[in-house]
Amino acid sequence: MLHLLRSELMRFRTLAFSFALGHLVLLAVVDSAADLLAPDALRLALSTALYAVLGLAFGLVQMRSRARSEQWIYLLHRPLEPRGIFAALATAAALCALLVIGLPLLLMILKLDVLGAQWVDLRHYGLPFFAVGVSLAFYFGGCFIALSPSRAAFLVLVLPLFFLTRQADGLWIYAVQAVVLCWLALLAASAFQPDVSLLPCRPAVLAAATAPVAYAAFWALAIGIHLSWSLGTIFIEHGPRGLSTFAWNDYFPEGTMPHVDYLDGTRALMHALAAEDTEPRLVSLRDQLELADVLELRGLDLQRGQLVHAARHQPLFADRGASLVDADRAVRWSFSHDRMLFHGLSMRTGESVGWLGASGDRATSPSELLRFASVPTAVSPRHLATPRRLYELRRDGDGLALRSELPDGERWASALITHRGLTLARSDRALYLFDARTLERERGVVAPRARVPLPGGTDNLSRVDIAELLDGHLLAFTFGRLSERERYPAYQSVVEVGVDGVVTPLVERSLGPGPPAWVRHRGFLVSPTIQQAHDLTWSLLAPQRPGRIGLTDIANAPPPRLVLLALLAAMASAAATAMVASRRGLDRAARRMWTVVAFALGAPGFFAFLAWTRRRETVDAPASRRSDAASAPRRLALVSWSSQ
Amino acid sequence: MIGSKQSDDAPARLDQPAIEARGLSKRFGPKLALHGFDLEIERGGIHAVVGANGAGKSTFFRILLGFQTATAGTSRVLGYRSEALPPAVRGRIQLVTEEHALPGWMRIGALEAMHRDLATRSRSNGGREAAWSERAWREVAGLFRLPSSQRVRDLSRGERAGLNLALALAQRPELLILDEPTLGLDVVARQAFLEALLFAGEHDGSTILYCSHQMDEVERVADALIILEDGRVTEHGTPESFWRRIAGWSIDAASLPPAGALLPEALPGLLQTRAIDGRLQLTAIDRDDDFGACLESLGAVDVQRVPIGFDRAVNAYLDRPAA
Amino acid sequence: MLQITTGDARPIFRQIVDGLRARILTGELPPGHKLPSVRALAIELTVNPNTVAKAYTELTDEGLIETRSRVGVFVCEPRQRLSDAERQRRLDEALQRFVHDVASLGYDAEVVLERTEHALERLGLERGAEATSEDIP
Repeated sequence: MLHLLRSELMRFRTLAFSFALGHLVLLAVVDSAADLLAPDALRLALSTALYAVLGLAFGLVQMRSRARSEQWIYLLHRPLEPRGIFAALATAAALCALLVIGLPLLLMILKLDVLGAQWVDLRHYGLPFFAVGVSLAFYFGGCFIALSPSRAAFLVLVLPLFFLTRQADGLWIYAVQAVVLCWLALLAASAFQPDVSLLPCRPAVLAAATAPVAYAAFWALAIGIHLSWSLGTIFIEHGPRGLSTFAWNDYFPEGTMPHVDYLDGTRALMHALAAEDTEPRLVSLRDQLELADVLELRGLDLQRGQLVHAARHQPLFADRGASLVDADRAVRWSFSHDRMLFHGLSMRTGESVGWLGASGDRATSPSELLRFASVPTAVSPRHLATPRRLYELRRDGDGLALRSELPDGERWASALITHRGLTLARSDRALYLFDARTLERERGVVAPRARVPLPGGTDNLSRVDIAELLDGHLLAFTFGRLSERERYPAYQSVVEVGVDGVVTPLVERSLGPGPPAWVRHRGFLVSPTIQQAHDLTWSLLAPQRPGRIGLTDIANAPPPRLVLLALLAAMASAAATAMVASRRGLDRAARRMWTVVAFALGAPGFFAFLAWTRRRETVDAPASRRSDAASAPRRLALVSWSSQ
Repeated sequence: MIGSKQSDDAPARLDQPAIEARGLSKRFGPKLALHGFDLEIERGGIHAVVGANGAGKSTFFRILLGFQTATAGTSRVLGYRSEALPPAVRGRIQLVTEEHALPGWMRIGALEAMHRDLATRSRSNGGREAAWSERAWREVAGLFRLPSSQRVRDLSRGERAGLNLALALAQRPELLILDEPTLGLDVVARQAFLEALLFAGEHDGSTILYCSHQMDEVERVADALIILEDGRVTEHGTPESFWRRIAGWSIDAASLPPAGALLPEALPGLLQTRAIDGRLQLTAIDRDDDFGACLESLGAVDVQRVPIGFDRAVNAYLDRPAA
Repeated sequence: MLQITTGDARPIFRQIVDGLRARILTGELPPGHKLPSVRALAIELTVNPNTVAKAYTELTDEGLIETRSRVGVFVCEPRQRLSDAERQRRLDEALQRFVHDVASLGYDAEVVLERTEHALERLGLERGAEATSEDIP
């Protein structure tokens, strides 16, 4: 086995070294242009994708070059268990991954740590291993795809996609990675057998192969339902050319959640106010709105900071970055998880400019400073939020200034947005309106101009529209981000904020659901089991993520009509499976098992069944082909009379 | 390691045939590659396997070694079921093919070390005294002048075939399967290959399966002849007994009507008809002198019996009209 | 010493037997001459050693050679080992083949007999050399 490992390393030696060198050069280029240790989301996604593709390609090449050729026999026909041979090849691949991906990263981190002034956390040293793990997971996926006889094998790649999403938090990210790695390694090792045309048959392997296919089929079907409903609707309502001219906010009826989703800020406010159109105050507000400037807050701006982590030594790939930039002095302040302090680095010279502590002081030595109790979040290039406090980098460059503090039990939960003299920040309970000029001018703690309590749960908050009036502001909160499956309500709430900061609730109207229930509950219809398992898994892996659910939510099932429909769909898929299984010549136990699986998982179970079973080969030709063989032209003994 | 543990579980089953296939069938989509394939090969000797391309040789070998699964039927090799060959038994079976499967990036010396290590590990406490025959390795490597520092990918076709054979023979196989090993080799390399196969090492008692399209090689080396056609074994015996059954006849071509008369229905046993320079050369199987009489009764004139060589006998047999 | 050709009408084993027999009968290989071992001859001809062994067995049966254990294979003193009946049978068989091959060549019997006589003379067989009475019918 050691010989085989050495031979395999020898085979890819040149390739591995050249890739390692290329990687190192790439890292050096990135390092010279940006902070290598604080990647933004795009760079993180790109580099992860690159490592994934490398691993996948290596697995495909290493296996595909051998399987289905004489080399396969040479490789497997030797006095070793296939498992041992695969272990040798996989170990060679792991060593290659360490060399190509891990080593250059490690060298760069070491260089920054030892030679540069930058403070490098312990968690940064986890980065090379995480990257190697990503690559290896895709490598095993590639091996499985190259070896498996099923065309559905590529669907196992939904497994490593789990940790590409970065949704898992803290050390969970390594746990997820380890599970996915073992999972794919099991699949690849099981497919590594002399006869590669055999489908998996051991129950554990079959289960491991079934799950990703069913999961992928689940999403494909759910997306398919949504697409066919929307395209079908457009066709019916607008004809075949409707696609190019169609506008969604024209389609959804007024007063539904998706309708509001597609409106601009002004329209959203107008529609919210239109509910009680006879009220004179509202009529005058609507007139003002026509001319007013409206700020629309939604998406990331609204949600950023929601995910402040409590974990220390958080892995880099889960990092949402806490670094501040002092543009005037060209200093970047990066947060060190080891010290729980900010470390400043001159962007011009690369020299250290000192440390920043929780008290806002700046010092050259970290030991004198008060540490942050939890990892803070940068809410703007100059602003920083700890759970309760909002800091700003001081203009004189000499530390942090406390600008605002929340009452006990409240947490900052959004980016800091400044728009036309107004600076907005959201906590998990209220929206704070600051006067931007005061914030700019004053140095100390600034009282907000107004505190508007959120009329609903922060997870469910979809958008906030703010109109500047002559005498204050008009705010519309739209809730219903999580309303699609009726776990949370959808409604719009309008409040008026006077110049004195007094908040007056004006109108509240509830919003109806847009698409019919069978479209909104498409996941449940396709497979109640997978839908619930999916929700639960994410709730477990990403506890900070909005929309997490517990066991009580699961009990809160969709309307009975849909439960019945889902049950019928599951029974149909079980029946289809039982029917096809009897034609495929499976034995009784297998037929029963697949039928149960198809019932439990619904249609995705049926697709997994199709992917991992095959019609049994028979000696007799299929009936349609038998006639061809019989009518083969008879050869005559007389061959070459023409040559005479 | 894994291999050495296995050798205890896989004792040599010398009382069982080297190869045993019963009703083996293999379907690839609409095509039946093997069709009720029955074959039993006793231990020892060189068994030549002859058949047209696509007769099912490669499929049979793949099934035999567990690299494909039969649609129906069973096969055993060295007494062990093909689909569950213990690793130690794999060590006792060597395969040499025409296709280049050796790792091209390795040097010969390293490759030899790897296989020696594998062989000695897996059979250190197996039945035979030494699992690696240094003599066989040296003889064959010497015959082909293989320098140990050379990389496999830099070898010529002939040298590669020699290396394949040297590795196989040095591991003292109980069963050696050669699948058209001399395809594409020049005369010198073929001579060296045959010489090495026949005389290098000490493969006393080992069974050799030799697949070839080269009838002169078969004639030289075969103790037994196995003919495969359309996924079936159609002949199995000594080359001489097969050869003896085939006879050649020559008649005046003009004496027979151009069509119909020479169908196998009219001339049972007719294998092949060739028109050469105004004469018809006919080949027949299992027919005595009465075949000549039969020809004359059909109106043929100048009927002569002509001797034919082994290659022509086999070719005529393979070329016979479908029954 | 020996030449064998593949693709010939005679099996290799027959070619070896015929070749050696001819050489022994012409005296090219005198009695007591040591023949190559089975392995050596097989290597020389690049044929299966079993084929050579079979040829040697046949020649031993005909009384032309003998194997002295651990010493080697030697050409025998000429003596007859086959029974008369067996010799008779073999002669008939050979004649049958010969006549068949020759009949269609269109030669007169005279010519054929004359040529046959010449060929036999070259092998050292002359008329009357054999003492047994019922030799040639």
